[in-house]
Amino acid sequence: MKTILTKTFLAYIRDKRTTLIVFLSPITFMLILGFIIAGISGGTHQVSVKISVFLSRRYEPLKNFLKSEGKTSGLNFIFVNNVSELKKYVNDGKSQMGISLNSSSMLFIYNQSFGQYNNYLRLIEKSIYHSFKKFIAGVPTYISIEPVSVQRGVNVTVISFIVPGAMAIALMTACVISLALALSNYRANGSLRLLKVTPLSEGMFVFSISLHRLVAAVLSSILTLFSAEWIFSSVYNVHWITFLIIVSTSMLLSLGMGAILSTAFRNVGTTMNFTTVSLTVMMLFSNVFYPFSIMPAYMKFIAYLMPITYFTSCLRFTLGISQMYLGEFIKINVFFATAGLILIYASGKIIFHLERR
Amino acid sequence: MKSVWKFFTVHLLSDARNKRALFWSLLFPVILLVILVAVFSNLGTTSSINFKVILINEASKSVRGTDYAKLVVNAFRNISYPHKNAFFETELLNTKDVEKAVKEIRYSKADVIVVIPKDFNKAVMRSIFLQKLGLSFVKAKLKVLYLPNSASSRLACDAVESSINEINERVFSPKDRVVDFSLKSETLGETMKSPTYADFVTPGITVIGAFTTALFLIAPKMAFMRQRGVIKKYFSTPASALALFSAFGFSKLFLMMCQYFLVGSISIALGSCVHIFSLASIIYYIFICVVFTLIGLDIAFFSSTTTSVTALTSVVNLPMEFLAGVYFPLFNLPWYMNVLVKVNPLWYATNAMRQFMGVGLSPSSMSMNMLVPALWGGFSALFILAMNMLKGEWT
Repeated sequence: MKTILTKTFLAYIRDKRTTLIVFLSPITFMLILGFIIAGISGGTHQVSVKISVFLSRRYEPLKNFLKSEGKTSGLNFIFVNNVSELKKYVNDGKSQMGISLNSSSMLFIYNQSFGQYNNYLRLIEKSIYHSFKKFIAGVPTYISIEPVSVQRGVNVTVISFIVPGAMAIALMTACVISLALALSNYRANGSLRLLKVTPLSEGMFVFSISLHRLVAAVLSSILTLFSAEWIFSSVYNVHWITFLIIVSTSMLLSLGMGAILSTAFRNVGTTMNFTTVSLTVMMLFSNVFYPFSIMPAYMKFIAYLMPITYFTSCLRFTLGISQMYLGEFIKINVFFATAGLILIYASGKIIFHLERR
Repeated sequence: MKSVWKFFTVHLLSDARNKRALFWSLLFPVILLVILVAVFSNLGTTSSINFKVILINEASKSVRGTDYAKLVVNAFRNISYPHKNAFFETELLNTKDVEKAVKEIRYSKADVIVVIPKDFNKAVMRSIFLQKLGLSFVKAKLKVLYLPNSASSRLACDAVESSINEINERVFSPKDRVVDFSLKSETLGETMKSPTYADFVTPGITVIGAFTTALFLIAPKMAFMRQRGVIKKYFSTPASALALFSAFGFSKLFLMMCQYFLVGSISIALGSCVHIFSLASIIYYIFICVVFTLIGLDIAFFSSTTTSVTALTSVVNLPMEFLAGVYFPLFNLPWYMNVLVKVNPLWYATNAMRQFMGVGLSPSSMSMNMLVPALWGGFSALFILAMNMLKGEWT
């Protein structure tokens, strides 16, 4: 046991590629994703949409109404002097949407390069239109809403809410690729065939390779978290014990997934291709980028099957930015750990069994 | 010329036998396109929205006149599932369950809570009465509890506000006061009428496809040839370096062109109307393929082994793809991220391909769309020549 752990550890630390994947790629990936998603959310501190507005002289008094509406609804209105300036704002991405108001119509201006994000903007179009219409018509408002924000955990900014999702994707990707690559390499260069003739237990071999990667991934997650806190000026109320538990169990599951993927193909390249596609599917179908409430039913169903979805929820819980029932947290961790161990053990058995042929 | 043709057929046959080559050059872009269209086509459309709203009616029953609280409850029911065009899933809870409802919000099981307060009916009646007398009045307020940092909760709060505005307008507005105010919309840079998501994403996928082919096929293959001394062996023959590299490049360009038409055809089968046969888009695509091939060769000459090529390409690939604006729009980025976007050749290539394929106008100028990738190509070529001068592999 000690010998195999030492040997695999030495092989691991000599492997610069794995070190690069496990330590550097999560930080890079988390930073890029963090900034992109924060940008879509309208800022790093609050969910908001920047809207540039041009009001014809007749409607200039509307400015104050819009300012007060914006404060409560998360809309940030920027007033411009003419329609061409308004279009320039939208075109340059300085605002996500433009509104031009003249005597008979209200024109909403979008930017085609924002693609599907325009769907999100069209959701608030109707709300703005009705508010304007009502104000202009002088319709008395008998019923209004009083938004009350519910605090949960620490006072979080948008970016601090996004970071756990980006972290989850980055760490899981690094772990799956790292073990899939290592096992496929052992398989391709004939090491497994040689090990087959030794009294070494199959499960123990795969477990020893996984163990180093698990420790490295946990260290990498702490490093990624500190980097996020430093770069995004976020302050988390980290509950270290639960944080380390969820990172360890989900990394165990990721390693298990990497191990089982490596058994599917003999060639390293094919394994990497399949791993890349599987991770892309997992990443896009998770709820990290878009909330459940705007997903079509089939996508919601797939998102609920993705481990990233649960890993992200647990991470948010351990970082003190959202709440979760303790029973749910325990269930997820037990499932992750059990599934991970089973996958690692099973892939050890399978991969050595395949060498017999 | 004969040696170029021979090398070309050799590399092409070698790629045809190589599953990895076929995967990255033909299959991967198609899989990516299909996944993206499946994921994002219906995202955020009215049919896919479903906000979970908890409604708590604390209002005491109206003894005389209209029960406005009930009117609000019914209005919410009418825009909730299973009604047609609904976007709420409303759950009506008892007044005792406020704590439970707040817990649901905190634990992300619901998006917003709408509380109709005890004196709601009285407040509405008082406002109507005072307004009719021409006196100032205080609006009756519905409490909407939401999570400020959750996009879903924020959107649900806006949707509730919009619904309340509609109730105000429909129920309380005298007909003569409703203004006929038309709603219009315009999409800047739109050249195709109502482009679908498949239209929008296809030009980006062609760019990403060419880039991944360069990173995951060209770079490792050239690194392999260097590592195993294949290049040195080639140069012991009368074949020139130019013949070898041009044939190698042409064979990959051939694969990239097959990829372009395959992605375009699949996209059209998915309902897209992109102009894949536009001459401008084909010429520009060849140009970026040459640039990406040079970048791939750069990586191969920079790294000493195929293993380090794999590591380097894995680290380079995703950041460049995400900063190309193919998957997500890029705005509100800090200046240093904007710098990365503005030097990313994939961003310019995606913009240009969208314009050439007739999807929309490029947000960056066409001269920049040519210049930045050309600079990348130029520097890559210089780097390869410099590496050769240092290591003397071709001589």
